[in-house]
Amino acid sequence: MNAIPGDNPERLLEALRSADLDQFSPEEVARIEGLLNSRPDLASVVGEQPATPDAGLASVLRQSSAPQTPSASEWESVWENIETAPATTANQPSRRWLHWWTPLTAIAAGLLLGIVWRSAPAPTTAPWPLQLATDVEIQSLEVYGDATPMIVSTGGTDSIDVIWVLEDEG
Amino acid sequence: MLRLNHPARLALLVALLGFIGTELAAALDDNENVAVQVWAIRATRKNSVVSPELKSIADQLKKQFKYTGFKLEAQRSGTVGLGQTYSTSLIGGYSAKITPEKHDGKRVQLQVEILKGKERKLRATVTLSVGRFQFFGGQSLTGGDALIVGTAAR
Repeated sequence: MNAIPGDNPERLLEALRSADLDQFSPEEVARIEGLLNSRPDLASVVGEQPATPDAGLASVLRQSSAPQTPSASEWESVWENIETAPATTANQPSRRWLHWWTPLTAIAAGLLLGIVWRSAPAPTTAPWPLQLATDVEIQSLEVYGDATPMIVSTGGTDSIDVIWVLEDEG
Repeated sequence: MLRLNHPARLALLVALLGFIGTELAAALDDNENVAVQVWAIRATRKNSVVSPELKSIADQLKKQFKYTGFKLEAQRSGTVGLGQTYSTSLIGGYSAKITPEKHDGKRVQLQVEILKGKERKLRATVTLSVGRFQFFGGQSLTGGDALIVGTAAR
């Protein structure tokens, strides 16, 4: 420890800056106090000096007060991730399946609409005006039981043939 | 200008085309469909009432048959494909099955079956002009009346 200069304020300040205050002995601290009490000019100069924090505390203070910013390499890594993200996503099968979910649903809805449209009951045909067939060809005629089939012609110019079944009334 | 780069738009177009295709296929299929009509007429001797729809043929029927009244009691209609059977109930427990077998646009070949309950009474195959009726009669109804079945297809 250097001697505490009592006659030169600049040298006293230099000694206080360069020394760890905890390293001053009680006697030296007492001497500094006495010196500052007896020399108001020196006390005012020392009092105007900013406090010098402990080196460890100062480091901690710098780390806690400084914003946590990523390093250049970290930024580089982040940008690489961003640029490669779309390609990675597109290669995922589950995402691809989701990609086609909407169009598949639309197609299914369209087909369902068509099926429902075609499944709707056809409107009942309105009754047709009665026009009897005059040029009927009978390919086959069968009756069952004791009945007898007949072809009855009404005769005349508008003759029609009626297929009649004579049932055994007995 | 419609852009189809979005999957949803493309899907809508595909769905629309699918719907149109279904309709076109159905329209083509309609060419194979046949409309069928079946009338059930009660012929009776108890009165001389003739249904308005039968006025034009009532005189011809009266001349040939011993019935005086002809009442149209049921009109049935439907559409079936060629080779498919149109079945319908009639009156007095009778029913009819009509199967269009051929159709060339002018004439149609029909297989006609008349049944009472599950018992077949008549089966015939006839070819006639489209829209023209052929009568099948003689099946007994209550009170001595007779059933005449008229059928047509187009």
